[in-house]
Amino acid sequence: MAGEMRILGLQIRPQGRAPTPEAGKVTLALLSSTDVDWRKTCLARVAGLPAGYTYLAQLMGHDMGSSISLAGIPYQEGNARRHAGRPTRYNLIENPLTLETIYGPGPSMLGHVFNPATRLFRLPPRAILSRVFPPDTKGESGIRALYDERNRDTLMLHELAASWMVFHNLCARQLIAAGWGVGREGEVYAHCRRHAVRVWHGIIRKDLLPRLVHPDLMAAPPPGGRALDETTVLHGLMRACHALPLSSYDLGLSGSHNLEHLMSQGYAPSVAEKSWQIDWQRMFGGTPFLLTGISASLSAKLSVLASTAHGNMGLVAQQDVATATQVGALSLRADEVQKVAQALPKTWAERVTPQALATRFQADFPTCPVRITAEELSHAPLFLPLMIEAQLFGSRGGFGPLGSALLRGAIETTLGRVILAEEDSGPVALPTPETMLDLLTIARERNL
Amino acid sequence: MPEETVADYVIIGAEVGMARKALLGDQIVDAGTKDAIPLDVEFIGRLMVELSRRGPENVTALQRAAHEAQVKAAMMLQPLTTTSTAPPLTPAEKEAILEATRVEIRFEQREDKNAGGPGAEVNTRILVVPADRTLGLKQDELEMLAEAPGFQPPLSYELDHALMVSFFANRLEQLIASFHPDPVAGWTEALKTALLTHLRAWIADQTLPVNAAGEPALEDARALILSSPVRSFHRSVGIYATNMCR
Repeated sequence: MAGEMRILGLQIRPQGRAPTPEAGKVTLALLSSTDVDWRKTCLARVAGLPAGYTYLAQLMGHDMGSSISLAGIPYQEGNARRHAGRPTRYNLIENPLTLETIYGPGPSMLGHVFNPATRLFRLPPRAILSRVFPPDTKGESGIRALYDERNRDTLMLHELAASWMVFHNLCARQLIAAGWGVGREGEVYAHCRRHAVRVWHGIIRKDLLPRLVHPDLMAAPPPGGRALDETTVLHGLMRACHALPLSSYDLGLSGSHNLEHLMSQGYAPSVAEKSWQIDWQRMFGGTPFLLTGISASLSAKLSVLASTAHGNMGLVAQQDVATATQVGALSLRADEVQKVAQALPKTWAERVTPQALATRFQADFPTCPVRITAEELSHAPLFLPLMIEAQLFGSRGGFGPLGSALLRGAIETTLGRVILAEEDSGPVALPTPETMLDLLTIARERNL
Repeated sequence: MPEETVADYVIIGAEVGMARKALLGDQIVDAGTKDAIPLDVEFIGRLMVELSRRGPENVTALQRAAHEAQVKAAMMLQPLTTTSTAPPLTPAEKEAILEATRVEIRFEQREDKNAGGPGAEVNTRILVVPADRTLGLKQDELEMLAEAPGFQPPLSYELDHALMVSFFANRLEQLIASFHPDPVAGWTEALKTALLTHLRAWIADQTLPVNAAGEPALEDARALILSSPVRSFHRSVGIYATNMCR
C-alpha cells in the first residue's frame, strides 16, 4: 500500500464501479425475503460455523470501523477537500484493529469507562456485562461504562466486549501484584493494552480467520498487491456476515430466545441483559442448532429489527443495500475485485465469474425466491455475489474462495498497519489465550 | 451507592424453558431427560392447585417433604447485576446457594368455627414476605424511571407480553378495521386488507418462539402455553408464588 496516506478516519471514496440501483433492488428482494423454507435450505447447506463466531466477527467488524457520513464530522472538511475525489465518510474507529472499539481514546479521556486514578476499566472482576451507574436524576438514563454502544447490539456481543475489559483489568492486577504498584498506573495500562492487542491479533489470525476463510485460501500465501479500500471492506465485504445471525438461540440454562429478545432496544438495560447469560461452550462448541454459515439469506428477524446506537435502521438488508450504493463501495465488476478473482488458484478463478456463479446458483438452488442473473451479480453490492459464492463454495459456513481472498487481504493489511512497541516481558507472564473461548474462560474464572 | 461485597440475587421459580431439573416418575433428574416433566413455575402452579384441592389433611408429612424437594428443584438463582459492584457469583457459588435453600409448603386454612351451625368461616391468609435485598432492590430500580405511561409493567416477563399481544389481537384488528377513510386521502379497502394481513403476521412474529432457521417452534412449551388457558394459569400461579421479587 505504498503511497497511500491515511488521514486518521477519512474514508477515500472508491473510483467507479459502484452498485447500480437496479441490481440493488434485486439484492434487496432476495435478502429481505421472509421465506422460511429458503432460509432452511440455505442453512442446511452452509451450517458448519459455531454461532459464537458470528459475534466475534461482529466485534472484529466494529474494531475495523464505525463509518458515518462526513457531515457528522464537520471539522474534517478541510482534510477532505485536500483529497481528490472528496471523501464523504469518516471512520470513527481511527485506528482499526487496535481494540479501539473497547478502549476508545483511553483512561485520560474516558472517565466514565475507566477509573482515571487506577486506569482500570470500571467493572468488577469476572463481570459478565458492562456496568451501568444509576442516574442522579429520576427519569434520566444511567451512565454505562462502555465505550462503543454498538457493542451492546446483542447479549452475545455485549458479553464478548465486556470480557475484553475484564481481561485487561485481570492482566493489570497481575502486574500490580507483581510489584508495578502505585505511581506506575500509566505503564501498567500501556503494557496491558499492548498485550491485549497482541492477544486480539492472535485470536483474529488463529481463531477467527481460519473459520471464515476457505482452507485453500488459508493455505496459500497471503494475497499480495493492493487490498480493498476501507469503504468497500466495511460496506461491501463485511456486510455478507449479516447472513450469520440465527432467528433464535438456545443459551443453555437461560433458555431459548428469539433473536429480537436478545437485542438491546434503547439505552436502558434490556430484559436479556438483566435476566440471561450465554453458555459460551455451546456457542463456540458446534452444538447442533447453534451452527450457522454465510449464505444468500438473512434471518427473517432482521427484517423487523430496529435500533442500535446509530438509531432506527429498519430492515437490515435495506440499510446495507442503500449504504453500499450511496457510498460507492466497489462491486464485483470493479478492477480491484477482478484482479483478486483472476489471481485465485485456477480451479477457482473460472468458477467465480459472474456467469459461472449465476448459472451454478440457479442450478443448485432452483427454489431460490429471486432469480439472479450474471449481469445483476456484476452490478450488485459486493456482498451479494460473495454470499452466493459462500453458499456454493464455502467450507463449513465460511466465505467462498473470492470472498476469502478479499477478507484475508483486508484483515492482513489492516493488521499489518498496526505496529506495536516491542513487548518487554514485565515482571510476570500474562495469560495469552489463543481462542476467544479461552479468553472468556479466563475472564470468568480468575478472581482478579 | 454502597459497594456490596456479595452480588445480589433472588431465588425464584424457573421460567418455562429454563428448568434445571425435571421429574421422571418420582425421581428428580436433569432437565431434558426423555419423558421427564420440567420442574418450573408451571409445575409449581399446577402443584399448588392440586395441593389446594387435596387440603392439608390429605397430604402426609412424607408427601409434603417430597413436594418441597420438587419445588426446591424448580427454583433457579437469578443474579441482579446491572448496577452491581460485586463480582458475579460463580457457577459453584450459585449451586451451593441453591443446594442450601430450604423450601416450606404451608397451607392456608378456611375453618368453619361453628361447625354445622350459623356463623362466619375463618379464613387464614399468609402474607409471604421475602428476605431483604430482593423486593427492595426492584423498587430502587423502578424509582429511577420516569413517571409517564409506557413502562414495562413490573413483574411481567417475555411470555406475559406474548400472551397480552395475543389477547389484544382482536382489539388491534378492530383498531385497523375501525379506521375511517375520510378525511384521509389515499386510504382504501385494499390498504386496510393489506394492513390487517400485516398485523396478523406481526402478531405471530411477536408471540411465537422460533427455531434457529426461523420456523415456529410449535412444540415449544411457550408456544403451547399461548394456546392453553389452564397451562398459562398454572404458570402465572407459580410465578406469583415465587417470583414476587424479580
